[in-house]
Amino acid sequence: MSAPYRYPTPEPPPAGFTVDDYDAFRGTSEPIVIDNGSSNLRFGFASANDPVSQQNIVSRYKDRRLPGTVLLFGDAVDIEATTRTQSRTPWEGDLLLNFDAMESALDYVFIKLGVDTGTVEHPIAITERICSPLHSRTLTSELLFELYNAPAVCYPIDALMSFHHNSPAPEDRDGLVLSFNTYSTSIIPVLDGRGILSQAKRMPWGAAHASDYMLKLVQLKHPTLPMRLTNQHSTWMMQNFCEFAPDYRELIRSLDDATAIQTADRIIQMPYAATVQTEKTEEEIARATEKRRETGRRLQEQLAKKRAEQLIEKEQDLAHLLEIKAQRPGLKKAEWINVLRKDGIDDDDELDEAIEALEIAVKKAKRKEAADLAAAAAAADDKEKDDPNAMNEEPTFPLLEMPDAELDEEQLKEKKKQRLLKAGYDARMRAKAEKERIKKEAEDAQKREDEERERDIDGWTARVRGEREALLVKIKERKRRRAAMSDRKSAAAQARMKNIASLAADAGPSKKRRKTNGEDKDTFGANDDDWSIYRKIQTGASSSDEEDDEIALLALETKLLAHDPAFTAADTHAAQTAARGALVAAVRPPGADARGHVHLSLERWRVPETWWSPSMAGADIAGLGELIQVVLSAFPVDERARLARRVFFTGGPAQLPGLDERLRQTLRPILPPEMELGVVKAFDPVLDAWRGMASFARSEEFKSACITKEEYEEYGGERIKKWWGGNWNGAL
Amino acid sequence: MYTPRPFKNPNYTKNVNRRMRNYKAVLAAERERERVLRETQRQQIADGIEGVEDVPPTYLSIEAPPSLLPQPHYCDITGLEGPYTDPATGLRYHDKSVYEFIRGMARTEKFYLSARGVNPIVK
Repeated sequence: MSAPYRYPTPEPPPAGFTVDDYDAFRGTSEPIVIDNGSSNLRFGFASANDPVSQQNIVSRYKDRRLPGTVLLFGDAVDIEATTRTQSRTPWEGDLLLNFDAMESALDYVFIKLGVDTGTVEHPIAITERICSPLHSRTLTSELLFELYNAPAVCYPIDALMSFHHNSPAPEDRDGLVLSFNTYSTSIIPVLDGRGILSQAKRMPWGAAHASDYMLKLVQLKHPTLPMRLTNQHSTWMMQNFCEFAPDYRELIRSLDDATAIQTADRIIQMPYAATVQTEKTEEEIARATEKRRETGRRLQEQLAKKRAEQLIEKEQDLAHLLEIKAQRPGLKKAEWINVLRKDGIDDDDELDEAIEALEIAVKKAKRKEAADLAAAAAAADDKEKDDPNAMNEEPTFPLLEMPDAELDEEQLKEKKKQRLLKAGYDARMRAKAEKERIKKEAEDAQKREDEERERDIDGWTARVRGEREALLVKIKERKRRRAAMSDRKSAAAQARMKNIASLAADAGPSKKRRKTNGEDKDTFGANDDDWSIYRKIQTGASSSDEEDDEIALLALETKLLAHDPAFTAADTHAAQTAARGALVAAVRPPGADARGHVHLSLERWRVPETWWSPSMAGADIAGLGELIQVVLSAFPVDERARLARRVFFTGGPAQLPGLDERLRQTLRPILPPEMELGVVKAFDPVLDAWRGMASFARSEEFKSACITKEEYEEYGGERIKKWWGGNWNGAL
Repeated sequence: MYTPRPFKNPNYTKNVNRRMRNYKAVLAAERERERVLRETQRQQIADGIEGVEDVPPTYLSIEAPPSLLPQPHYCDITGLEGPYTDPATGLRYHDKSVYEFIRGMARTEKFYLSARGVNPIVK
């Protein structure tokens, strides 16, 4: 695995706009050459070395400080996110349809070139899509001749111009031109420098489609990436990491294991705003816990104090009432009632009730106090454990042994206190004993097991392994059940619905019925197994069970690891699960999304492969290899040989590495062995079309390929001259 | 910032056709044009006129045909060879481990399928 590549932060478009100097071309008829591509517009005077290249995109921009709107063209559109989203292009996919945007684009061309005369006085060469629909051509001609008053216009096909530029020698005038465009890919056979358009093929699959496919693949692979992936991202990924595989099948066979995939993996760090998480230090956490505990303790103390006060009050009340009751035998009825009235009591019954209530309350309060003390003692005990030096001697409670009669007031109080303390102490001791008993039991079990192991290692191994198997089966079964539950129609899901229905049906007899008919009692719960029905209808993860099983499994595996030489670390459940999921984990590395990482492994070849089999991405089109075969088979053998001698490819996607090798691998088997095969890449796949056009525009031949304004007015906008580098439809 | 555009013809009025045509309409017009051309050509041949020109190739006539070769099957999850198909989701998969992943997947199969251009019918 290599270090992550960084997705570059887009640079802001250069501010300011300079208009080129027009003086050199004023009054001349130097042709203006425009390569009108669906993603980029490249233009310049024919004598320029290099064209100006801009994205072919227009957008309106409203600046609050300025009146009206500004029209942006090209890279300047990126200035703001809104202008980008509201942008329009002259092209709709592969077709030139949006002529408002085209007009803006042409305005930009002439402004940028500095044209300041009343009309555009230069002949114009502007590229046209292969076999462009006449509608597009009509409207382009209309714009150029009527709006700009151009004297003459020529419509070359970009791929043929690129071929022309790369084939200066006369013997190179034959070939098979592959043109990789943004929205389509075309195959044009060329004989004697002349495009044979009747045998040309256009594949509606281009760089934009491949980029879309890349976007889909990456989104599927990284569904929770913290940022929104766009086409720009996927295009960048495609341009920088993709390559054509010479033999795709062989390649994916070689990538059929986790390490191979990891070697091929390229990681891209996507930019995203990380959500800031203030992480607390250990110290801070400890302090917070301590504070919480302190508050809790204080609250408990206050409560205990209050309870003690209430207890005393209640005891006093009780004593008072008992005193009153004791007076009863010596009093007459009227006097007695008077005494009672003084304390707000109506009669004997009420007095008895009050006494009883107070007695219960006092008892309860005492019990509570004892529990408090026990808890405090337990806490102290815990502390004691932390501090082994603490004194650990048994406390004595001497006063408890003595009868109450022998004690004075002070000692009685002390005795009460000691009684409570003793209760706490006893509770503590009981807990301790219980703990020790459990510990001892575990030790005994361990001992027994050790003995058993020593006596009969094979038997022990078999037993533990059996237990482990049983647990694994249980875990597997649970997984299977959960998977079945996700399917509404599965038997498990249906059984669950039945269970729920039956539970709902006997929700218990009505109250009335239960009263009248004692026989018809609900016996649900009498048998403990009854409750398992709730477990059965539960769909969600019964997480505690699962955890218990995993812990038990881990314990068994640790034992086996320690004592069974045949059981290695690779045999553990965890290791085996990881090994089974290694391939998927290599393709979809866990945790990549959270880091903003995009992993490109097989996608690097899978995306360019769509040119050869578009069906991968759901397009029902013959692949490039098949199409080349179709095109070649339309020619007699001698012409086929001339075409195969020079298979030429151009256009943006042709820059991806490996295309020439792939073409050779595709073409060699379909050609006779003695036939010469040559594969040539355009010197500059992006700009050569413009350069070819520029050199053609400077030649004498250019004039004969142009349609003049007079001809336009006579024949209309659809008509063009028939020449070697132009379209055939609508030709004169 | 307004740049003057003196080169434009002030008397030019927009072609009314310009806005209305959409992708489909343009292709339909193209198809119709080709049909008419073929019709005239057939008529001319029937009339015995010598040297009838071929109908020039059009945007639609040069379009690539559907593939006649068997479609290769690739794994929808990994991109490796996908010899198997999961009958429940319709996803193609490479091997047992990928199948396990598909089983554990939370109903995202339709996205994988749509990347391959298959839009499953909701059952």
